[in-house]
Amino acid sequence: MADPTPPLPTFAVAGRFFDGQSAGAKVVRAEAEQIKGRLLIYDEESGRLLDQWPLDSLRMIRDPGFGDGIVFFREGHDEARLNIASAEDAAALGAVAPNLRKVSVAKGTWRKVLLWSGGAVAALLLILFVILPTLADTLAGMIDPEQEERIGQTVVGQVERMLGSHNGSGFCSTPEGDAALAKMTERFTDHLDLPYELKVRVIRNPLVNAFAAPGGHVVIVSGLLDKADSPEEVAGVLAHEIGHVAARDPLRITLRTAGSAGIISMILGDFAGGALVILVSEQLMQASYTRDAEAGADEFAHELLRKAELPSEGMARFFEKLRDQYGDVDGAEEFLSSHPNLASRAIAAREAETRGDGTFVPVLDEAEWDALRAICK
Amino acid sequence: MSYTDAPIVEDDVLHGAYRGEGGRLFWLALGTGMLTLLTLGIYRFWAKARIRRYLWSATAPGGNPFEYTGTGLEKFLGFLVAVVILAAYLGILNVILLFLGFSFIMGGDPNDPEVILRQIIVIYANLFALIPLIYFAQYRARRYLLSRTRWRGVRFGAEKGAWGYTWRGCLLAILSGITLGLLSPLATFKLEKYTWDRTWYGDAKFTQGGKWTSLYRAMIHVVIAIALFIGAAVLMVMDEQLALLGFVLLFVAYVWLIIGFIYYQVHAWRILAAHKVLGEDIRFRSLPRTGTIIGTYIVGTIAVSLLTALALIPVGFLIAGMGTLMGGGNPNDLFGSPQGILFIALIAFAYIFAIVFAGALSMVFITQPILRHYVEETSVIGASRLDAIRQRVGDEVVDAEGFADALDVGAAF
Repeated sequence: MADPTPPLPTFAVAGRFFDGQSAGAKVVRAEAEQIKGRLLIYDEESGRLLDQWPLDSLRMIRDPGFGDGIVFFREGHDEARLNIASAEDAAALGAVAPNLRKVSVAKGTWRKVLLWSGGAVAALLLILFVILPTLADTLAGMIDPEQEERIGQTVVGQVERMLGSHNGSGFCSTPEGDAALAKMTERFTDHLDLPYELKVRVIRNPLVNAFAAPGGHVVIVSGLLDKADSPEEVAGVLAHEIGHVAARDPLRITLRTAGSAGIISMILGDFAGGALVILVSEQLMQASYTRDAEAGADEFAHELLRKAELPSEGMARFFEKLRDQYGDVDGAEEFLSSHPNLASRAIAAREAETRGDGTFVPVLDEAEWDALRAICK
Repeated sequence: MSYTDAPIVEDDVLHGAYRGEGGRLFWLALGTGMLTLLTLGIYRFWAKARIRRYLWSATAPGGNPFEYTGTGLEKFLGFLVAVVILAAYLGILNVILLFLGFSFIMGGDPNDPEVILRQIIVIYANLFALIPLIYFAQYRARRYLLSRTRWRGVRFGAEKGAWGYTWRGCLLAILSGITLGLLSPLATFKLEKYTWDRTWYGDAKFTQGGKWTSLYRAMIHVVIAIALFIGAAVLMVMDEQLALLGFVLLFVAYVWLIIGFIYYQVHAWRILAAHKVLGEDIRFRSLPRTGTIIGTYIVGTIAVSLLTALALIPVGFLIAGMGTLMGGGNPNDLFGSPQGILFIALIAFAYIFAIVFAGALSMVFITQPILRHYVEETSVIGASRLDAIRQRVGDEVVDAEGFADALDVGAAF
């Protein structure tokens, strides 16, 4: 604010005073005494001294929505207000108030902020990574297996639609192919104790993929059969999907994700460019859920292969093949990915050495393997 | 209309005055917006407090400005409290709702439309769980806002009552929902009465008088729009040659409905304001106009779009220049070279800057003019009696308006 003339040692300005006790205004004369460092506020009408403020505790209401005048108050005494309407008078009074714009932060504020922020972060982490997962896992275990199979039926139908067919027309079936698939599945089922029957099917699509749905549904996408060079590679993938089935992962993860949905966007709020941050954060959190499940399914698969007296080499080779074809996720990217790094999965599979001496009875003979590969042809 | 010809003693009337300036508000909004961006959203609480301080102090009936005493810090701390409670509540509720859906409702043949319908119900059930929270958050936020608002040195305040507001709000929403909006004046009036009968200025209490049926007058244009919709539907069903006319009528009805909703809000405000009393006999007159509000929206939107586009021209040239400089190579190289990264950073900056810039402009060209209109069209009748009002003890609101902030149901400012 411009101040054309230096303020006199003592000068008076006209204003309106609200004592903070009533809504009635008093027309006042405020006398600034610089030598004594105080502001005397007199009632214009009666000449009575209404209040006396030290100049160094004089503050203004910041971010004013008007160009002229200032509303003053006395720091630490929050009630009374002195409203100086004339821009010149306000500037003069402002010029003798050394701490006009000072914001005093109460003692211990920083401690409080740190404590509350830390507490909130800890509570949120506890909710997102302990309470919700535990609740989801417990409840997933309480769902009736028969009902779970029915849910799986719906999910498989929806995936079929996403892959471009419906009413089950996308699923492949030949007598020989079905027999080969059943033989491969049976190799594992003897060593399993599942609440429901495994229902393994092949769907026609060039994607190299396989997935497990709730209730023991496993779907192998035919692109995966084309990509595989031996039945043991397919068996490795199947063992992995059975791992998801055994852990009831599809249901657990859906429940977990439902719990955490929207929490991140609630924390970050709606600000420009925030959408990207929200997207990345949600991906991070979801990926951390699924990565654990994937790693668990891999471990389960190693164990299952060992019980079925099959080598884990096929699984390792298949991961390497995928890596060569699609590349791998490394470094920071890995935290965003729903699956662990393929190279390390291959290494883990190979190290599992489920068949130390390398000898095994093949999952399928030549004819059966050909029949399985031809199931969608 | 009867609510405008209340006896007015013109020499005891305090006219609303608004003295905010576009330029100041623009720089304040732009600066706080950029700070919000740089702090990944954390500064938004302080930004909101500063914008409010500005808008409140610009509102100065009789030359005495309102004052907003809320701080960014308390809003931030309140948000922390609210977000933890909400995360626990919504997280657990969502898991349980989906579990119940899984156990009893979902599953079966995916080609059966009923199965799909049931699935959709389960997926959206949690949205309904949000609705009570919104009413709760709105009441709490309003209570906080009033507790941080002063005029002539005296505080406003509201009594506790968020739960009462929540169940009334839900019940009334269901009621106006099942009557296809026919009872929405009842909902508007009852909620307004509930909140204002618990609102104080100093030691003086507000009272909302009047009858809910008087709000039907404000519904007139909504009713006309619905009649037009019915007319359009009849035309389209009746005769193929009239179908085109039906489509035109449909469009007219649609525009009319939007205007009708704004008209309802404005006129419900007028009627309700005329029946508010502060203390014994301080009354209000507030006559905002629908045309002004709609005009402000239209002109404001055009101004914001044009100015944002203009501001982006230099950035556009810079981007185009860099693009040609790099010779349009493989997009994958962009991440490899320092120029490429600079290029991407520039585009990201331009995008984000445009959002903040447009936000600041719409504050200046839409929010402030509408606030100005409402303030300038409002008068206090029997203003001399304000002098007798005494201070009230401040309300402690620990969660500030954290719930409204977390659920993003706060007001425009």
